[in-house]
Amino acid sequence: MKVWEELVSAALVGTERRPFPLERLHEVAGEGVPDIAEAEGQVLAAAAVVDGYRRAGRVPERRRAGQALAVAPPHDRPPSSATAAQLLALLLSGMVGVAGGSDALLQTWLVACAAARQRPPDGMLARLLDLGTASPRLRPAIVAAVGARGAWLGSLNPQWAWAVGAGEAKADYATATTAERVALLADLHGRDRAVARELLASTWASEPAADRLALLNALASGLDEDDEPFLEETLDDRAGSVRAAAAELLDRLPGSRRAARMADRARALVRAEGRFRRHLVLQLPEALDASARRDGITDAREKGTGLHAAWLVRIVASTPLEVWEPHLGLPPTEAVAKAATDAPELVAAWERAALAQRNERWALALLRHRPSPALVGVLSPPAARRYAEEALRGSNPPEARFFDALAVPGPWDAALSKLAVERSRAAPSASLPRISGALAARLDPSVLPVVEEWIEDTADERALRDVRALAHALSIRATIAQEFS
Amino acid sequence: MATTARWTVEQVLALAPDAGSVRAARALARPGRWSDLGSNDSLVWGRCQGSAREPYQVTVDLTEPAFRCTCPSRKFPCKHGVALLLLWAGGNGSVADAAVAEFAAAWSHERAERAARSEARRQARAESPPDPEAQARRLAERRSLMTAGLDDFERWLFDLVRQGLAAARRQPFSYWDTAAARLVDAQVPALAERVRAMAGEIHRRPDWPDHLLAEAGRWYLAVRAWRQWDRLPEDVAGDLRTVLGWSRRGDDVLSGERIADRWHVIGLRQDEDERLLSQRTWLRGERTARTLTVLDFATAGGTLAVAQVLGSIVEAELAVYPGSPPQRARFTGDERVVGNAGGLLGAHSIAGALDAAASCLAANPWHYRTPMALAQVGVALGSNGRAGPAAAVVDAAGDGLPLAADPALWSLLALSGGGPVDLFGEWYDDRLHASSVVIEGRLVAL
Repeated sequence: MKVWEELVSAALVGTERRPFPLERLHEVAGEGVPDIAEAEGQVLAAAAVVDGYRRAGRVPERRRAGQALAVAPPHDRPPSSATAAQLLALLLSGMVGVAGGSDALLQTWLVACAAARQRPPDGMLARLLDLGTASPRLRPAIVAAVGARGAWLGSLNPQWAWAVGAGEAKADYATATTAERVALLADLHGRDRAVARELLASTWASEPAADRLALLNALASGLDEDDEPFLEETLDDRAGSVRAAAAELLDRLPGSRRAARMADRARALVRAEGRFRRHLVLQLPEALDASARRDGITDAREKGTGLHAAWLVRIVASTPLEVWEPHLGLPPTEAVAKAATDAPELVAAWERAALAQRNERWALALLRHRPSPALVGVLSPPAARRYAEEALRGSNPPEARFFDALAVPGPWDAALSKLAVERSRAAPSASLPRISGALAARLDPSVLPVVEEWIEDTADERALRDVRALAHALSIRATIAQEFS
Repeated sequence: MATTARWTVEQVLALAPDAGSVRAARALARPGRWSDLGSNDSLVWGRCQGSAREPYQVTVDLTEPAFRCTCPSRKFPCKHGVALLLLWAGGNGSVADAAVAEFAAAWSHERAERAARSEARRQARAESPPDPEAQARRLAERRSLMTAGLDDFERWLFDLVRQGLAAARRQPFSYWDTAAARLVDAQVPALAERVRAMAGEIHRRPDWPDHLLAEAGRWYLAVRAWRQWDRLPEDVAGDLRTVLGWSRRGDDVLSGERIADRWHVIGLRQDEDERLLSQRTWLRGERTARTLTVLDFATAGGTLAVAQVLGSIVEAELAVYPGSPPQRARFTGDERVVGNAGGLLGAHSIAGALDAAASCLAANPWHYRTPMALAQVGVALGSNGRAGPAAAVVDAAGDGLPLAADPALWSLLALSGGGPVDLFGEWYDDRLHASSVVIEGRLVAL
């Protein structure tokens, strides 16, 4: 409405400088404008009248050509039970006092829901998707649980773009922001690596260094040998930070060309000598050639480590662990035992290698030497279970071994769970918050009666709270299992 | 007092403000989460371990019922209160008759004292025969105070327009706050609140010049209307009282117009700012086809009256405040829930709803929120194929209204899958603020 705009521009600069002609208003509003002496009053009264016309004259918008209606695909699975839905609402409310926090139980709920081919109630989808936006760790479980309607909502809201299936993500990649690209790529790389690699390559050359670094790191989950050619090329990137990130990713691929070059370097530096190969002897590298520099060996080092020793550790940490048994003529357990006395820096380097290459045999050998929850994460489920049982059975195991056992991911079987509860009852109450949190995510709910005995035998107020929170978490997990069985 | 029979679970659940609270309360209604549980004829109490270090102290006075909980929830009653009643109603012995816990007794005592004081005031009013002369004198004093304040406000408005809106936008917060404080002194607090809100609005809204000019026009209209107070028809006077914030005594409203009907609870909204919690309950009469709104207020941190349950049908006589539709009303104390509505009563096309909004404006130039019950609307997406600020509701005729991009939009999409569905919302600031939707024959909060 033209007269309104004229009124606004007059009012913006003020009637002092631009009076508003009242005749103009009479043309539009007729006698609707009262007779007012002051110019300011005229403008204000006119504003009231004309704005009333504006608002009362509001007509519906017509749908524009090409403006699509939102139409969700049909539900692809039945809803979860009412009890399960209540539990989910409780967990989402964040008001539930369970050991280990509600996120672990949410994860359990979502995984069980997806496995049962059911879906959460529609009314909770928005909250679940918001949660996934805030906590990327929960995203895979959320994506698996929310089904077709969740993926559809993801396509409507840029903040939920991570919930969209791979096919649709591809179309959006070229126009997405860097943060969205990183999220898409990280999610996709866990599920469909070929598509992820293709997307990454599609814009790689034109990305600035900071974005290349972020996108490269998005490949970290689900890395495999097919990523090697791209990473090998990236060792020649323009930016040092990108080169370093590529080298770090290649540390995880013992079959790479870089790993073979590292092996050549390492074999010259570490030898077993003496009768029965009694001693390990290290020879520190004297200088680095251009090829070693290209492979990402830098001068960075920890305090107290010499420059040349740091080079050696870096080389060994990037060398395939399979090299050592034939080269030294010693199985991993013996190699670690000898290194522990002759060359401790070698043990540290092997630990890094075992973690990066996820080498179970070496992880077990190194764990025998000293506990490390990180190395426990490398073990396969049967090996991890065996290790946990040994750690828990050892009479009065040192605290560190006990925490190693707690690092073994769940769900645990009933026997191991019972063992863990019995062992935990002897633990000092100061470590209970940490213990009950770990147990909550791992124990088999069938040990709930044993936990309840524990509650009855506990007098200390704070310990009691931790054990109750554990029992509460277990009873929720039991309900989840029951509702999705 | 006679021994109170324990309530049924249904009676307890009818008090919960929404479905989420029902679920949360059910989950909490386990004896293991509670300590110090107990009850007597009028009180139920207990301590509930929540996320805070100290357990929450929960007390319910069964006579009203009234709730008290030390948790930070703004819902009223909170899930702890409902859970406590569920335990008590369950009657499995976990909430036994006991000597009253100290925290419960303290609260009950406080309440009793408060009630005694207000009863004393009421009696004093009732006993001392109203002194018409004194009343007339007080009224005349108030009106001259208001007149002086509004005359002063007119000069302030003229300055605003003379110096220009652009200059006003550069003014510090105190420019608005001082004007608002003077309006409070003149006993027109609602007008004062609008002036104070403008200090933020002109920096928040992209359309601030239009908004400020239109608001200033309406303020000026209130000043002019006040000068004709004695000649205003009752409904216009009622609207003006609302704009100014000249509140009515509850007793006066109760002795005014009353409407009996089966009222469908079609929408519930709670808002809060730093000082005030407010709750709007939208009701639609089955026989009268009137739409009324019940407002409840509480200071921040205080407790709101228990809302009716969304989707229920309440048989009640409502006392209506003078004014133009949609009028404010209050329950008169005889309300009872008689059933559940299978859907949304009185749903219109979008064109029809806009016509109704125009009639509201024609009757009341200060009209702000229009309740809209829309029939069979879908959601249209923005040109980029996404929802968000460009989303709109579209009805069968192809007419559309822009939707507010708030969390309700996403709940609407998740629940309806795009529709078409019957939808209730509030129309203001050129956007529809969706509030409830019919899903599988039930009205659900968004």
